[in-house]
Amino acid sequence: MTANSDATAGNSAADGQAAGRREVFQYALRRFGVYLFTLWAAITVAFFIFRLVPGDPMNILLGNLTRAEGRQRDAAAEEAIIARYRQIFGMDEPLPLQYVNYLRKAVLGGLDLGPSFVEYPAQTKDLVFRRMPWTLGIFTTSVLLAWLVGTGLGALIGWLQRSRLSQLAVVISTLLQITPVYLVALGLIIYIGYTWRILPAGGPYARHLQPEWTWEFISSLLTHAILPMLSNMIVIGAGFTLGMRALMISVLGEDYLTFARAKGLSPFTVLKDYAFRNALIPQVTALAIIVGATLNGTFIIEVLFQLPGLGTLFVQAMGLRDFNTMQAVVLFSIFAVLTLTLIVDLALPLLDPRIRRTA
Amino acid sequence: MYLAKRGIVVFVLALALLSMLSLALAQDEELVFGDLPRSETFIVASQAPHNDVWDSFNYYQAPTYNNATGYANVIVEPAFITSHDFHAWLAQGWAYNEDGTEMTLTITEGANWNDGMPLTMDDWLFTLQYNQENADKGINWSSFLRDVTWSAEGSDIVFSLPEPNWRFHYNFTGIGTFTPVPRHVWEGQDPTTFKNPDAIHSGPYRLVSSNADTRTTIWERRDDYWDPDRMPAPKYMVWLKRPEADVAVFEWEDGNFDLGRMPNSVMIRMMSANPYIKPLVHQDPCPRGLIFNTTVPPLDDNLFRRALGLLLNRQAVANLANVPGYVTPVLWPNLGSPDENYYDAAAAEEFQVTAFDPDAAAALLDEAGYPLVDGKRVDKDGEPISLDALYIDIGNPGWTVWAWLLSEQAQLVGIEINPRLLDIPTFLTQGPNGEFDIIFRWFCGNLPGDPIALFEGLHSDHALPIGERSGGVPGRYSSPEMDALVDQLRIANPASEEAQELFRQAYRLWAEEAPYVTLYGENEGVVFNTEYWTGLAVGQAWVHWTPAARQIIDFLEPANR
Repeated sequence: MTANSDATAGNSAADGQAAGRREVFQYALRRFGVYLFTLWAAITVAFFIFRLVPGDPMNILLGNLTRAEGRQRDAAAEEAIIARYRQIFGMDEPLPLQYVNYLRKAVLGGLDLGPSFVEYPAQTKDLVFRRMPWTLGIFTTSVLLAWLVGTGLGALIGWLQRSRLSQLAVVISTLLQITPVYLVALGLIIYIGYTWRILPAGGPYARHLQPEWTWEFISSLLTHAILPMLSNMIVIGAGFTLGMRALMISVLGEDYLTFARAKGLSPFTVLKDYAFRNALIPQVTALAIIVGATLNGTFIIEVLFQLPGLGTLFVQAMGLRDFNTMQAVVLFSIFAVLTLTLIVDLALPLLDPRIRRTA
Repeated sequence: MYLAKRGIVVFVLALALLSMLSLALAQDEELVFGDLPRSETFIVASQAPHNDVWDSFNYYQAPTYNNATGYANVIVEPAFITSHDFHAWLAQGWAYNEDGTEMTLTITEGANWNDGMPLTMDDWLFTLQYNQENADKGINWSSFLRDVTWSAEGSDIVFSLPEPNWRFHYNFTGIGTFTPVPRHVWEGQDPTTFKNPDAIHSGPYRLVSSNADTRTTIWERRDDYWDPDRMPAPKYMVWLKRPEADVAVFEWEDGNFDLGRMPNSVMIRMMSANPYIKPLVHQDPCPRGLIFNTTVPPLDDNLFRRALGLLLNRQAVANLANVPGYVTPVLWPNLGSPDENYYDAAAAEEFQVTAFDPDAAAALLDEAGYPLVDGKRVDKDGEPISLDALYIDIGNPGWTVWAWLLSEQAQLVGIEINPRLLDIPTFLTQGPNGEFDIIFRWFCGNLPGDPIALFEGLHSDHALPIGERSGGVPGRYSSPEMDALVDQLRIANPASEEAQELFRQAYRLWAEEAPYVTLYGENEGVVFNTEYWTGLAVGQAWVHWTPAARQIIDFLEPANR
């Protein structure tokens, strides 16, 4: 081989790397474009769909007023009140204009999503940001923990698929996975919270405390978080366990594992470096999907455990037809799901060279 | 030396004994919410169905009127509390001039705010001015001051009214009423955004803490309350948002709440688990009825409407609606015994306003020209009659069962009635917009000696086109006779002979026309835990979600168990 041909080979390798980088960049750019488009489309659909739901928030407002004052007002007074609140909530314009204003304020106005009926005159944005830590803190953490435990357990069960313990674990996981989270939560509340009184049965922390950096508050916060997190972890963790087990079993039949064993590698190395790593990739994708789904379905847990999260907020807003708040919660959920999916999509090429190549 | 050592040992032992004793004594006193003695704390498990405001104590904010924290219930004191009778509170009485164009309100002297500042005439005048000036902001208790002027004379405020109005005092005596706010707190503030963070008002408690995360507000009784005769017994009050009923039931069984509402379905279980739990029954002031859309044939025919009224088995609905043993018989126009000065008993009998009589209904339908053809009643065009009955479900069977019972009875006489369940926002929209055939409704605002609320909503002022929101009885009923009667009743002194005669005429017209029909008077169960507190009983006015709660906490006595 000549020096010239070495140089040519070196150049073509560098060209290949540059082309690869360019392809990855184009993939990321294309993926980000899809992300932005999906985000816009989802917000738009949510904006119009909520307004198609029957029920005018002004009627609910007047119902509250009548309850407060204990009597009906005259028609002129009611019209004046309705007109004022329609204007405050941006509902006095034609629907297309409302939509344009909504997008303009949300994008150019520093995420100005308007005021909220639920806690008027609080701004919807503030309300969402105040409630978000509860949802993220408790539910996202519990999903991540469930994923970690479920993935580890599922890998182990799959690896030891023929042992009795493994078969028993599959039965238990299947039962837990099909149990509604509501029942699991209620069971934990009744037995652990009230019958055995091991842990607090509800609330974000003890009712007499205020948020501050004291041990009393932090310990109260942590002990109150255990049962809601456990409710989520049990059900979701069981799903992850079964999912990972199935992935492991399919990987265990691959030729490269037989080859690895034939090379004389230790069973632990085969499990860790060959079976587990290959089974992990779809499990990572599943995590992103589950996190999104859990965000949207947390309100039952929040209601049962009296947690001031986004799920409860959405239910309250729905009851008042508080479009601004409903949209804000949906916006946040869509944003969270799409962003997580984007992150996973962008991270997958790093985990799996095959994806990098097809990208 | 030996003695000294022994003395030290004895001293240490005594100290240890004393510590253990004090610890044991301290443990005897059950503490809740940190360091509040349970025996001195009254805990209300309140309900705030949708609005959830725990960091604002603003009586003016229309969308988030705050009655879950105890603020609007116990801290805000009204001029009068109306429960069976008028009870003077921040005002002593009212009087009208001869033609009803002036009303004099006498305020209570010597009251103070819960920050210790005196509550004076200056605060009253400031509040009146403040409400009037901010009326365009859609705040509570402002619209009644339109075109009204006033002046102060000693302890009296004399209101000059733009036209005769013998009902102006209702603005001070209703369930929720106008009441003064402290000038030193509210001056310069925007009534739609100010949060009144220290919850300053004239009630007997001061705010200790409020928390939007845990939805809990803790109040402590103040010793400088302006009326020592009305000093409530609980030193502390805690208002918290009741958990979901499935969970709250355990809190009740553990004795963690003292007062609150729970679904009737779990009351028996709770009472057997905790013998201290007693049900209190509250007669809701708003009787229930059904409104017919009078623009929809055949509901535009009063004979057809009356026939539907005869198909309502009200007693069956009432039995299912109420706490067993506390069923309210169906009476009308007012709950309890109707005052015959305002009510035409002969008309009630003639038009069978509360009767259940399917045979009479069938005869009336035949007479009105809705014959039975192949087992189905047909309308004037020969088409089978089919109507929708709209209802909502809030957990009380009475709100839903009427539609099914009516449907069943209607089917027996050949009419198809389809019960349709709506969610609350849809129901609250379709009702006022007139988008219904038959709809369930509560009729509020009736006062002893003045049942104008029964008829005022029938004025054709409210008969707006379908799709537009109507503030009255939304069945689009229109009758020149009813309009003439209501016009006269609006300006008449309800206590006068002349007004009473008008009321009787309006009643007869209503009974004959049946634009809406009666259903039942509803009792609601409230749970009272007698382990720590006693004194509340059936028959007292103890509606805890209104300012009337200020009166009921005075009934409380420590149980001393």
